[in-house]
Amino acid sequence: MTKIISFSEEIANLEQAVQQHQQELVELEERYQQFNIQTHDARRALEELRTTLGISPKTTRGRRARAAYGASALETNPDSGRPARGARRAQIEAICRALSAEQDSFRTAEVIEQIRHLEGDLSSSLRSYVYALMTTLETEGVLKKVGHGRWQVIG
Amino acid sequence: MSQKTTPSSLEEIIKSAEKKLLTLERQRDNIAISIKEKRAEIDKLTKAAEAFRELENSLS
Repeated sequence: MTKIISFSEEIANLEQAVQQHQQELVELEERYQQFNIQTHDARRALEELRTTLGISPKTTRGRRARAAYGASALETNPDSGRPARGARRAQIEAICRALSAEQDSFRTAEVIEQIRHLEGDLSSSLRSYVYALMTTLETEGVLKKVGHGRWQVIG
Repeated sequence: MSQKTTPSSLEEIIKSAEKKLLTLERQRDNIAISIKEKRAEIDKLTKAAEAFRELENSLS
């Protein structure tokens, strides 16, 4: 039996699917922006409230937070405002290994959550760095992608 | 009878608010993951449409 492929029909179907996904993407981006602004404002308000009431903030410079995962908040260079070279990568790797020891696989969001817990806040550039590093660690054979958006430590 | 708010109860309220905030931040991060996946899907479909167009051109 011969199957006739209509290119124009296939292309039209694909373009329609792209349009639909693009609409959904716009909605997701709007939702993300809304959540991002709300959570950022709420976190700042909570920190201000803690300061006003004289309750020590969750993470302070003198008493760095330490997660149950063995990784700790990073000291930053006062001049550059950045941690020592390689320190962030080591911190993320340590979190990945700890999460992997606890459960079969883990998501990037869980790594981000741990960093937020350690550092008290998380910039969008650091979040992007985590995503990029996860891919690098996969290329280097440290991590393996399993299932949909989940990771396992193999190296 | 009025109840006095003590510093420790205030701290409890703040802790509870922080817990709720963490849930919201987790939801936000999940949206970020969905955005990443959605972009990858769009990229895949766009490339597939492009491949079809090239094939159509080369066969015509």
